[in-house]
Amino acid sequence: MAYHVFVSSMSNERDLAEDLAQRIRKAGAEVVVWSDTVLRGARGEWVDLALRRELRKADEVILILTERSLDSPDLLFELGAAFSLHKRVIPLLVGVGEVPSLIRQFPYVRYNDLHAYLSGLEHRAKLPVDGPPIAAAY
Amino acid sequence: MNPGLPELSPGSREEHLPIHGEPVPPYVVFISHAARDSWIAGVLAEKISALGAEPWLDVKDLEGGDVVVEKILKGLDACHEAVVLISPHSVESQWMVFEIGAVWGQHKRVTPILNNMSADAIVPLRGVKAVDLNSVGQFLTELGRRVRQRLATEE
Repeated sequence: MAYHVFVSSMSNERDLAEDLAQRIRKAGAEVVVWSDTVLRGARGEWVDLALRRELRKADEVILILTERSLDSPDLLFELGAAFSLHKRVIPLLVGVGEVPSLIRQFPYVRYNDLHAYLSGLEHRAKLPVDGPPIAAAY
Repeated sequence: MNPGLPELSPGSREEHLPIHGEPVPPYVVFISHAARDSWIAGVLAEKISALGAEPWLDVKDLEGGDVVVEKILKGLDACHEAVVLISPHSVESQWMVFEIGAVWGQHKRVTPILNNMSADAIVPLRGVKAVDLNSVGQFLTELGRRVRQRLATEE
């Protein structure tokens, strides 16, 4: 079973998100890139369904945060949603100086440390997901 | 009589305990608010308690040394619904939007209560019916009905 990573960013950081997605795929995980372009304004039912489905499917959730997007309601909303689903949540900080108290509650990663994070992800992606131990399968 | 239950003297069983089986866990309401709205949140918590529900409130449920997000997650897991106090103090709060997302993630009811704010003040709650603070009695009536319905179902 594939290891799933959900990457969320603001639309104007979409290139960064796509670059990250490529690196995640190289690390052996499947990835969905989500951006706020579909979330502007009222939260439509179809968006709710799609977002909830993708978050539930994810093993890890990465939120790309820059100085411009630190206060994005969409990203903070998704942070809360992923957290409440007991997912591994990683704020990825790009060019962020002072880290807000909320973000400090999570194991955030600075962009300069991305390589170390991806090494850990590669290891996790190789581990069996959801399967019982081999001895217990008999 | 259920042979698994100890024999109790008349009147010793609390009113909300069913005759058979385990006690019904309380109906928990998570209250999200800004620090500067603590007094209003406390009054709301008292009114929720008076309905037989159990409010989850940071000042009551967080203790020194607690890991805040872990404790909040426990509160969210335990709650049946949430209220969000939206005021000029809370509208810029990162924590509030985070908690709204968390309640949504668990597919639970969330009621915005507006204190001098318009219904569309918080983007993720657009489309959700809000209640003005001056009309909170109506929300409490509805909440009381949900609490009683749940007790009736569980018993």
